[in-house]
Amino acid sequence: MKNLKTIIAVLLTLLAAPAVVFTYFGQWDSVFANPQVLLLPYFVFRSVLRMLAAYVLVVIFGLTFGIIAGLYRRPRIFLLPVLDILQSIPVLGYLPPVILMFSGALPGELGYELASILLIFTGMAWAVTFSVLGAVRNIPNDLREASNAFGVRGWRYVRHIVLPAIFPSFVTGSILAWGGGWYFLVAAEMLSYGTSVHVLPGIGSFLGSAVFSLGNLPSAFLGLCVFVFVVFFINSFVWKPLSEFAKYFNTQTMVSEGTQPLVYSEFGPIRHLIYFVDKLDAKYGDRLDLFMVSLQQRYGKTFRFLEHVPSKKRHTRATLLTIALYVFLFATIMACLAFFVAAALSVLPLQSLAHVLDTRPNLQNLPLFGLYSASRIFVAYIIALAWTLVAGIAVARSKKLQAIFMPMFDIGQSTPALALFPFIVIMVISMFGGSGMSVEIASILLLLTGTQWYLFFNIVGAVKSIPGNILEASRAFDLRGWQFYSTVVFPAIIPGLLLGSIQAWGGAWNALIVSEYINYGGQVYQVQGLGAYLNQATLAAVPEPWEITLIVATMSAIVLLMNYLIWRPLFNYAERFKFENV
Amino acid sequence: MFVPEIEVKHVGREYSEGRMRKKILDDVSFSINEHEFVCVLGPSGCGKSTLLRIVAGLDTATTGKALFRGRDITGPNPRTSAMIFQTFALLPWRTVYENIELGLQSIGVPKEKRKPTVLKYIRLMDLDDFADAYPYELSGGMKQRVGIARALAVEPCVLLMDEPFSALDAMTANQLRRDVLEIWNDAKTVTNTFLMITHLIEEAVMMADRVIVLSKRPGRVIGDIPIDIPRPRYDHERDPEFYEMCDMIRRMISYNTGEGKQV
Repeated sequence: MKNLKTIIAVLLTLLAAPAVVFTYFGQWDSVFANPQVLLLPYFVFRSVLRMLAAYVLVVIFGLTFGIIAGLYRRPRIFLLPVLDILQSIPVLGYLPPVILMFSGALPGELGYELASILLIFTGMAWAVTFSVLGAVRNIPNDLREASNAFGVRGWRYVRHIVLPAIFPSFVTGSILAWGGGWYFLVAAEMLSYGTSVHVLPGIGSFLGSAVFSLGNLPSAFLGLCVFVFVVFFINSFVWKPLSEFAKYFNTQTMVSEGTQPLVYSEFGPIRHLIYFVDKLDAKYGDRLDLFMVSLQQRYGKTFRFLEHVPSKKRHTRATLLTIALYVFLFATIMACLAFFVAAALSVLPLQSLAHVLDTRPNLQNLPLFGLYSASRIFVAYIIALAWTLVAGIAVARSKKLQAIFMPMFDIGQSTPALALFPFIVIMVISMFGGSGMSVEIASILLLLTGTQWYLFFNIVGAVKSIPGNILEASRAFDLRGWQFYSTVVFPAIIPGLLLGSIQAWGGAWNALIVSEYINYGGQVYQVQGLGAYLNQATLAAVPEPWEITLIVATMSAIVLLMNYLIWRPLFNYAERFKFENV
Repeated sequence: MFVPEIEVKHVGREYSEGRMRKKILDDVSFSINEHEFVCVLGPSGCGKSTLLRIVAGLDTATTGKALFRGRDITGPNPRTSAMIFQTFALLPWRTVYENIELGLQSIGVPKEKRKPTVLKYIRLMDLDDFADAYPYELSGGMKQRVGIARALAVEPCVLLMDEPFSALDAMTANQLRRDVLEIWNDAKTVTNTFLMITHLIEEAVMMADRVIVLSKRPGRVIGDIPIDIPRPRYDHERDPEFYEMCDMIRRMISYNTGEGKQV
């Protein structure tokens, strides 16, 4: 396996670091003052199991809806806006409906466990679903026509063409999904609604309670190292090798000369999973096909609506209809949310919206708060952009820097930002005091943790994928220094940069709720913005469902509008200038 | 003293792959004079592209050296030699005009002075109607025209071509071969020394003054054959002399590679 030595060195460092620090500062006693420390391995087990359960749901959900919406136009008309709106709702916006549905419905811990899994699901699902959807639509036309010509249709088309073809995107989506899941693990294991908190055993809740309830920083540091250890371990032994393996499924690079022969031992332990799937496929694949095809023949007519209709050119009327559909679905989903929140707070029936607007004057400030939050994200985005552009290009261009810094950046990315929050808060407050300005700084730093890695890794990827012939041509014409960067590198990374920006802004809106309202050491630090307002609204003495829903709706509307008015047009424009199209 | 434009002296190139040393080129020597059209011909993987890159200054020889007018080639220099790529290597976000401008920008020609040069080569390559088009709007043949114009625009002494027609369809390739020969013949263009890499015997014999034949890896010179068939050779399909030459080279290569010993 490649980099095995580096991986083991990093993992050992992560284990040794707390021991060294505790010995040096003589903190062992206070670490063990937290009785939960001895349960850490069990907590890790529970958290990983929880993530795995959520991921299994995500795989089923993402493949089903991604493939249906990718293959068939009619379901897509409806599914695409629904998925898009659901994606734009911040993860913590799902908290009320999820808790309501499961905490009361099932006895004891099981309900909360399911609620937690479902919350992680909402942080994971969209990355996988949209990756699958995009990949299905990108299956090369010749592959589609060839399968049609050989009569590979229906179930067989899905299993033998679609699934292998989308595998690389599926893995990329899964990596993003796990990142998103880890990010919110602290929140997902400390289910808080209104003023009540329900704690589930796990590494996230260990970290949260070590900081917020016990104020035991040494044990929190230990928890953080264990957390990073787990994330880094899973990334190194599962996701990195799988994405290497996935390269062999890339439909675009079949003719390239540089493809290396497939050496399974390079994939490390995960190769046994690949073998296992292969074996299952060899043993039961044909039987599964026969069974599914017989089902398809018997019930196929029911699914007649699933006909592949080539998409027509867009007309103005179609665009208007799409907008109308979006507005309608958005209103419906938000109304459902309001209902769930009301049910969760047991304040049904809902009051009239007009009455709420009168009694909660803060609601008139929603646009202003939105502007505040957007500017805060913008500042964080610019800071992230500045350092990731420099570092990303430098790291991607130099093998030496790569060897030194890549493990560090991998750790940085593996560190779930929510777990870092307490440390950032302590650092900023100890440096600048508890004044308004320092809270503002802390808030932007926290947002930064939710945005920068998307940019960084997309930039590194984009620089690395500049084709060799372009690099050679620029050398042959003796482009150097600034000229080389301005004429070749910067334009070349724009599509990747835009993709990273879309993800970064999505991540930032998600991080907003926890970044603008920080409860640490019994004191609340907050700035003005949508995130802080949402926290205030949910913690109010008499929470108002409409108020909460309107704040969530505002966030989600801003995300949607930015995507449709800014990012997508830019991205589509940049797509034309990709290397593959030349 | 007479100094050739390009001299390749005992060039060898080795790569290390893990613990293995791979020899690509072995003691290759030849020279190219001004106004000569030379083709390097060889089976795939014989190191002919590496050889071209060493002449371009993009790669360095492990042993021996490459010279331009008696001076060592130490790095790429667009004023000395410009390259045309098999896969075009155009910048997707630049228009045809801007792509052709690229080399002039890099050698520091001021903006006002770039324009007449760029327009000259746009006209020469018949790209007038496509000056503002982006590469994705062009066919393969048009893209390679842009690649040729880009290389000529820096007005280098030597034009280097790395299998420039092998990514094109047969008809387009034929047309472009004629165009390249016309440019070579044209006294008005500054560039008149051409070095081309190819694996097609007919292409080499049709275009070159001399064909340098390389062996299979590691590449050694197994023949330096002057082609004295009168130009233009556009009617080569009917010329027995042309086919005799091709057959001779073909025998030379198959004898070397050990394939088809019965010939």
